[in-house]
Amino acid sequence: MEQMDRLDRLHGILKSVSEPAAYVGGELYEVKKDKADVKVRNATVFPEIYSIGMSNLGMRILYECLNAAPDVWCERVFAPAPDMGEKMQEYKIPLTALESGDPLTDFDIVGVTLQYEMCYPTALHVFDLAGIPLYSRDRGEEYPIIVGGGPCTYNAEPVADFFDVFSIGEGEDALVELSHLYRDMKEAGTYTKAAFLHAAAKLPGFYVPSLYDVSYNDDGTIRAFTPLYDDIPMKITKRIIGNLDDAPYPLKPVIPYSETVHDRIVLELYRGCIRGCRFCQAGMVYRPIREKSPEKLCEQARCLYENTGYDEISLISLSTSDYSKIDELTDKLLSWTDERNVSLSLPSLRVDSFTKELMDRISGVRRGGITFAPEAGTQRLRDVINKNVREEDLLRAVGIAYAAGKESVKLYFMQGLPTETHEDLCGIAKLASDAVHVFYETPKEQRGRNVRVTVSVSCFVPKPFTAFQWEGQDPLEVLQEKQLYLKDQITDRKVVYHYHDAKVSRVEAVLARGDRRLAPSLVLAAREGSAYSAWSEHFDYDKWMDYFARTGVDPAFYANRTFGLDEVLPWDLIDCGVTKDYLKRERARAYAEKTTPSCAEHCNGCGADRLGGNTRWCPKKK
Amino acid sequence: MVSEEKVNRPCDNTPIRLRFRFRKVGRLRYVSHLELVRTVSKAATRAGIPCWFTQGFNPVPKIVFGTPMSVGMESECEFVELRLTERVEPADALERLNAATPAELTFLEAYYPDNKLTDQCFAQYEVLVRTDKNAENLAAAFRRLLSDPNLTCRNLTHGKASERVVGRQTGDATVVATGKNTLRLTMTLGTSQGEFLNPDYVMIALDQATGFLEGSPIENAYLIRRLAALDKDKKTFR
Repeated sequence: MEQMDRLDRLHGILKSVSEPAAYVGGELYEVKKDKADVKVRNATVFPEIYSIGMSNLGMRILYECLNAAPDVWCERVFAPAPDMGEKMQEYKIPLTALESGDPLTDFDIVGVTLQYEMCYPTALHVFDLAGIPLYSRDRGEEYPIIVGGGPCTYNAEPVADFFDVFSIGEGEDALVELSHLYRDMKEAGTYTKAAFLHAAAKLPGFYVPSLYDVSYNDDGTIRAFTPLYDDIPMKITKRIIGNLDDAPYPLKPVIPYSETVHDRIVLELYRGCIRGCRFCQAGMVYRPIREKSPEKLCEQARCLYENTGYDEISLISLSTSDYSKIDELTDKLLSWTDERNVSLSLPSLRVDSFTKELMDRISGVRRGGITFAPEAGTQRLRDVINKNVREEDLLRAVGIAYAAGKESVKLYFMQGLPTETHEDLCGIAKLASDAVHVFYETPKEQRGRNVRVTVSVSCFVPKPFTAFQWEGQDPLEVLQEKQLYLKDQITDRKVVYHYHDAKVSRVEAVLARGDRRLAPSLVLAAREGSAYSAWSEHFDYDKWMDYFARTGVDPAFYANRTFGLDEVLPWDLIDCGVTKDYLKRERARAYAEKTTPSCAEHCNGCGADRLGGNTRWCPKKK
Repeated sequence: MVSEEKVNRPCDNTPIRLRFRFRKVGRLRYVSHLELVRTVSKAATRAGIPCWFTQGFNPVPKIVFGTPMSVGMESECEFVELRLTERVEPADALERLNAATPAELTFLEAYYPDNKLTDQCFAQYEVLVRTDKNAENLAAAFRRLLSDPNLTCRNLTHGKASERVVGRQTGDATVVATGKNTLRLTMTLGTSQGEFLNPDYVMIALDQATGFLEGSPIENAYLIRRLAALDKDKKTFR
């Protein structure tokens, strides 16, 4: 009866919000189970709107893994769009899961995926809409256990006070284990929230923040993390899946009615990255490199095509052209995709491993442009960041694209990188201009009619577990001055210049390197109008500065300060495989302007091979 | 690169049309027309129906829908036509398409039509209204308003003043109180080009005249359902 009433109220508002289909579920392949048959009810929350969250591969994988367990039922929850969120609050309709329509408070375990720092307030907004107290310490036995996961958990300290436990690393096995621990303790009658969390902290890859005390030095830096029990680890080592060919993969993903941001088949080729770009967190935390076999991938692609009806297959990884069997895989796929009007798309291409053969295989021609990421404008700075891309590689790759009929090329750069000078910024303008000239050097009969080179420049944000984790971000004024300086340097009319809002990057830097003292400011953000800060139209820098000021947070301490090499870092509790020594070595090489070869050429001893697994390149494992 | 094979595919100007009638009820009423087009397109691929693809640079299965409905309305009689490259057994196609779509999207029949989708000229609707007012009194008010050929729906677009006279098509409408606080309204409205009238406009006009939605604890106190499709003589369209 209560549920009827709630559904009634929900349906009452759906007609007046945009994209109502996002709030009712019922899509093809959603998993329904009988509540009486399951012992653990799990909700996976993606703190973004449906059309973004439904595209996330990680969420699909966890949905698959958890629902494969017969006594676990995992459902999906997304943040409502702002218009829906307002109506829900006005009509007092709690946030519900799509499959059962039950409110989040009915669940045993609520997993929240943290993909991007700016989504922290969105996650808290979701708790508010669900009627769940924000702070872990305020949630009694009647509330679900809140688990955090995803890339942000490599430094989850800013949200540590809100979560009961974090799953560090790949969650395929880990979250099923956690659910079974919950089930077993409930069945044995030994369950209390405290006992459960203590037991979870002993499982590999789980970090229970409330069981670690943090003390601070007088200068505000962290003195130490102290475990409250002797039997929980001093450092939490991330979990990995050893053999990706054997890991569950969603072959029947829930198919939304509406168009989502990545509306296609997604094939994950491998995890990890052989490159060691010094600003890149993903390149470090997903190590060691584990590839899937072309046979397995082709089998999964065929199955996904038959189950979904999508007409595009996206081959994803951190650097798709670095997949060691890319030619074999694309040959296998093309043997059946072309005649069925299915196209292949390869995001994340590197200019040095991009070839005409590869270009010919991707029928993405009709879909507009192609994107490369040189990241910096001069060879010197590209050596500092270890991008290992040369100008001639880029111009050659661009030439191949033009000769295949591409008219639009997008180049990604970063500004504010350590050691950057104005000369490096001029280099961006020059490189873009050179890329335009390559078009006119391409034979007329091969190239398109017109050319446009889009230069998209983001601001450097120092991220945990990178060689640049200690570096301070340029002050806001410097970042903004550099953006305008570059604008003046770009004079070629065929070059379009876009740059990211430096203010967003600054707040992102605060959250990325933040610690537990940020929690109160995030509560203000969630409740005072910044819940959707990941959306540029809802981001308000002055409000954020106000939240920080009112909660005694100095943003420069986190964003702009150069952290000491011997300082205890907020993320020192986590072991992501790559060692701090390796990162220090890489930092020293950066300042010496020395590059480091890729894993395919030479083992640089990053340390991630300790984690084991069926690694592709780690020679120590061969 | 577009392969030569794709460009030179035999171009049949008269692909075979297979028509499906389907039901759009329950949660499916929140699925917009565009979302439905996508869904059926992918479902046809999943079902292995031999679809004829459009011949442009981005070939997609050719799909034509009957008169679209606004989000939030239910229907017992929606039509979609797939263009095929070869004849298939309709019953078999029906079964396969149903297996490839969510349970709530039910295809009821499949057949090779001898008329065009545009031959549908009218649709019959029912509107179930819940009210906290006296249903008998409200029904009487509705009857009086619906018989007025000048009944007008105002302020249809935000910001801009625009209006539509709806009373011209509501003369035959019937209203019955089905309970103390519920009533049922039936009407037949045009669906052909130029004559199309959205049933929601009638409800908005009624609300503007009576204020029956005011004070309702929920925003959406009525449900519109399309019951039947009719041809130009108001006979069942099939």
